[in-house]
Amino acid sequence: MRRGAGPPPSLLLSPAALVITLGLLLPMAMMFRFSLNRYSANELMTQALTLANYARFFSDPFYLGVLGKTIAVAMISTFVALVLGVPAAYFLARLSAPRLKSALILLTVIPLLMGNSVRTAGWMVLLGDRGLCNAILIFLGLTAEPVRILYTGKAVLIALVAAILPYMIISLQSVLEGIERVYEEAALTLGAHPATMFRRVLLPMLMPGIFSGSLLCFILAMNAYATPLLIGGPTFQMMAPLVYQQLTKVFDWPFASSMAFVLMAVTIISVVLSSVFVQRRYGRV
Amino acid sequence: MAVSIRALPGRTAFLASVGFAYLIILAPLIAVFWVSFFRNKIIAFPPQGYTLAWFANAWSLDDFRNGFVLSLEVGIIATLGSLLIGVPAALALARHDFRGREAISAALMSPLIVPGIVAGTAVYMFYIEIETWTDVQLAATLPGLCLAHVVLALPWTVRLVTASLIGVNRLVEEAAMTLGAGPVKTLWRVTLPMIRPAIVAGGLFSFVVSFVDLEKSLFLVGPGRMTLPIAIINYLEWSIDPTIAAVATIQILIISAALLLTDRFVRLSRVF
Amino acid sequence: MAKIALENLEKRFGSFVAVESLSLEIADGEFLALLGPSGCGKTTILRMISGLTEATRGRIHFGARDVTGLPPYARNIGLVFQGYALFPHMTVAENVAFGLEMRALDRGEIGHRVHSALETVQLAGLASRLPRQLSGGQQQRVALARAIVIRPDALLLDEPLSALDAKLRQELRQEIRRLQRSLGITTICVTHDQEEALSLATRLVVMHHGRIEQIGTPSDLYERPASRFVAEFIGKSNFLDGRVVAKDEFVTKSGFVFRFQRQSARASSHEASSVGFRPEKIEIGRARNAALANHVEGTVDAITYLGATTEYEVRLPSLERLTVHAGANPVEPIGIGDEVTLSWSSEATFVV
Repeated sequence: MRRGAGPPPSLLLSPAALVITLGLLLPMAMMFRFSLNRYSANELMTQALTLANYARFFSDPFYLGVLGKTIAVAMISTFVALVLGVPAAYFLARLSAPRLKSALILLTVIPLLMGNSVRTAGWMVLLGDRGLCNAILIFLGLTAEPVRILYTGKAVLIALVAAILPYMIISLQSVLEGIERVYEEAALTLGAHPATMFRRVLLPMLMPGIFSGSLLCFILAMNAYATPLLIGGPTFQMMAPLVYQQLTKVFDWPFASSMAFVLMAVTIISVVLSSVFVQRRYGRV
Repeated sequence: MAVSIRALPGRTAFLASVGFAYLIILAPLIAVFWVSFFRNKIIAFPPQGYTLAWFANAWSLDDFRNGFVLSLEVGIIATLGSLLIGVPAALALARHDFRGREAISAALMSPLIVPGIVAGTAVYMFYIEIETWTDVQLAATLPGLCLAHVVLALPWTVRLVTASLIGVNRLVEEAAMTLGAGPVKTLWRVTLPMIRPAIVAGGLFSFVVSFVDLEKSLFLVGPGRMTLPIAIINYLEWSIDPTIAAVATIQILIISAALLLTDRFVRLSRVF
Repeated sequence: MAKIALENLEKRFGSFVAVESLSLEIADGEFLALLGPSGCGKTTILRMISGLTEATRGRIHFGARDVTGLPPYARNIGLVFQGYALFPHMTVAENVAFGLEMRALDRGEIGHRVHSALETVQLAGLASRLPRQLSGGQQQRVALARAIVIRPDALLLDEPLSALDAKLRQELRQEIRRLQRSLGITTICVTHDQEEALSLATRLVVMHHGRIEQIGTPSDLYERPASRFVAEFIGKSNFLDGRVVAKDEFVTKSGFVFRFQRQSARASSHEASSVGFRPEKIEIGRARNAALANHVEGTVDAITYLGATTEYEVRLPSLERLTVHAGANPVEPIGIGDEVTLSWSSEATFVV
C-alpha cells in the first residue's frame, strides 16, 4: 500500500479502538470473568473460579428446556424465512424494472431497520382477540368466536419470521445478483424443466447466500427479546428475556453472565461451523 | 431480454409466495399505521371513524414525550460520536497497511455480531462495577447510554466510509499532492469531499440504529429515563390501543424518512 | 438434425422492433452465420429459435416440428453462450452430462457419450476439472461438447469466440468447422465479427436494424454487396457518390466516369447512388494499366506499411480520397506527394 494522506494510523484509530474496548470488549471480558464467580444472597457476588453456574444451567431441566426451545424456535423460523425468502429474493434479483426494484428494496430494508418494538405493536394489533386477523376470520364466517393467536407459540413464530425475513431476502438477493441469468438459460436449453434447473443449478450456486442468510437469521431469532416477551406471553420462555430477568430481577450476576455466554457461544459456534462448512465446500467465496 | 416468467409453470405459486413474504413483512407496520388513526379507543375492526387525536394524546403522556426527546438526543449524539471517531478509523483502515489491521477491523465490526441482549448485560454490569470503584455513575445516565449507542453505530459508519474510500481513486489524491497540497490539505480538500455521500449515509444509519435499539438500551435506561422503543414495549405489556399505535407510527415515519434520505446518498441495497 | 424454417418471425419490446417480419430457411446440415452490428436483432433471433425469448409473431419449425410455442427445455437445441455459462459447481464431465441426465438416459449411456464428446473436443483428460480451472479456450470446448452431446436438432452459437485472443480464435474456428462438418449438424452462428462469419459459414445473413440486408455466400457478399451497409460492414471499400447514366456507366458528382458490372437491386438508375470498389482491387502506378476499364489520377497523401500489404491514401483533384492496398513490394517505389494513376476493372466495380 502506498503512503497515505494525513496523520498516522495509530492516531486515527485510537479513539475508535478506545470506545470499542470500553463499550464492548472490556465489558464482555469482565462478564466472562463474572460467569465464573459465585452468587451469594447477601453480597450478591463473591470472587471465585468455578464452573458451577454453567453446571447449574446445563443440569437444570428448566433452563435446558428454555435453551432447547429457543434453538428450536430459531431453527424453525429460520427455515420458514428461507423457504419464503428464496422466491422473494429471486423475484427481487431478476426484476428488470429499475424503479420497481429500488422501491421493493426499500420496502425490504425499511422494515429490517424499523426496530422490534414497532413491529411487535403491529403484530399485537393484527393477532389479538379483537385484532384484524380475527375480525377477518369472523367476517368471512370461518369462526364465530375469536381464535386465540396472540400469546401462542404460533404467533411468536409468525412474528419472528417477519422480523428476520428481510435479512434473509437481502442476503439471498445479493448472491443471486451475482449469478448471471445465462446459467439458468443454459440449463433450460439443455432440457431442464424450471424446477430441475432450480434444484440442480440455481440452488447449488445460491448455497453461500443460503448459509450466510440462515446464519444471520438464526442468530437474530436466538436472541429475540421483544417478540417472545410480548407476543409469546408470560408462559412462553426464551433465552433473551430470561437473561434480562435474571440480571435485573434476581440480581444473580454470575448466573446471568453464564447464561449470556451460553447464548453468545451458540452464536459463535454456529458462525464457526458454517464458515468452515462453506469454505470447505465452496472455497473462498 | 429474459426468459419470460410467463412461460414457466408454477408462476402463480411463485408470485403468491413472493406476495405472502412481503405481506408478512409489511403487515405489522401497515396495521399499526392504520390503527393510529382509529377513532374508537378500544381497537376494533372496522373502525368507527378516523381521528388524529391519538397523536396529541401520545405527546401528552410523559413517558412518550420524554422517550421521544431522549431517543432523539441519544440518536444525534451517537451519530456525531460515531462519525467523529469512525471516519478517522475508516481512513486508517482504508489508506494504511499496518500490523494488526485485520484484528482491529474485526474488533470495530464486533458490535454487529454480539447480540444486543448479551452486549447489554455486559455493559450494564461494567457500568455498575465502574460506579462501585470510582463513584462515577454511568448506568441510567445519558453519557452511559450514549457511549453504548456510539458502539452500536460505529461499525456502520466504518463500513460505509471504508467501502467508499476503497472506491475512491488514489491517483486523485496523489494528483493533489503533486500539485502542492500537503497531506492535511489533501485530506480536507480532496478526500473528504469525495466520500461525503458515505459520511452522510453513515451518519443517517447511525441515527437509525441508535433510535430503534431496544435490546441493548433495555439495561442502560433508568426509571423516568426511557428511550422511545422501551417506552413502547413497556406500554405494550399493559395495553394495545390507538395511542401506542400513534407512537409507533411516529417511529415508522422518522425511520422511513431517515432511510429514504440515506438511499439518496448511498444505495441501500449496497449497505448490507 | 433438421431443417430450420423461420416464418415471418417478429419481436417487439414495447414499441421497439428488434426483429421485423423475418423469414429464413436453414437447410439440414448447413452452417449459417447471422452477421451484424450490436443491436441489429441477431441475438434476438437466436434467442427466439432457442425459446429463451418469445416471438411476438411468426412461426419456427424444426423439420416438420412446429416449436413456436415450446419452452426452451422441450426444443432439443444446443446453445453455446457468449460467456459459455458453464455451471461453476459442476466438473467438466458433469457439465457435459447435464443435458443427457435431463433426457433420463441410463448411466452407462451417459458415461459413454460424455467421454466420446470430450474426446471429440480433445478434453478427455480434463473430465474431473472444474470450469474455473480451465483456460478460456478449454472452457469454450467444454461448452461445445455440452451442446453437441445431446444430439440437438440445431447447434446455436452466440458470439462463440469473442472472449478469446486472436490466435486461439483462429485455431478454434478451424475446430468448430471441422466438428460441424463431421457431425453434419444444422448450425446457426451469431457474430459481429465479419472474419469469423466469412471463415465459418457456408451462407451469411447480414442484419441491420432488425431486418435482413443480404443473404449469400461469403464471396457473394464481398463481391456483390446488395447495399452500401453490407459493402462497408464486410471488408473495406471506397465509395464515390453519383448516379448511373447507362447500363454499365456511372458518373460521380465530381465528373469521373466509371464502368461497372454489378448493380444492386436497390440502386435504381438515374437516382443518387454510390459506386464502390475494394482497395485491394486497385492497381497503383505511374502509368495507367490500359487493360483495366477504370482509371483515375491523384496524389499520394499518406503511406501506411501493414506488413503483407501497404496502404496508400490517394487524393483526387476533386479532393475526394481513395484507399489502395497494394503488395508490400511495389515494382516502382512510390513516395508521399507522388502523382499516381489508379486502375481497376469493371468487374471489381459495383453500384449500391
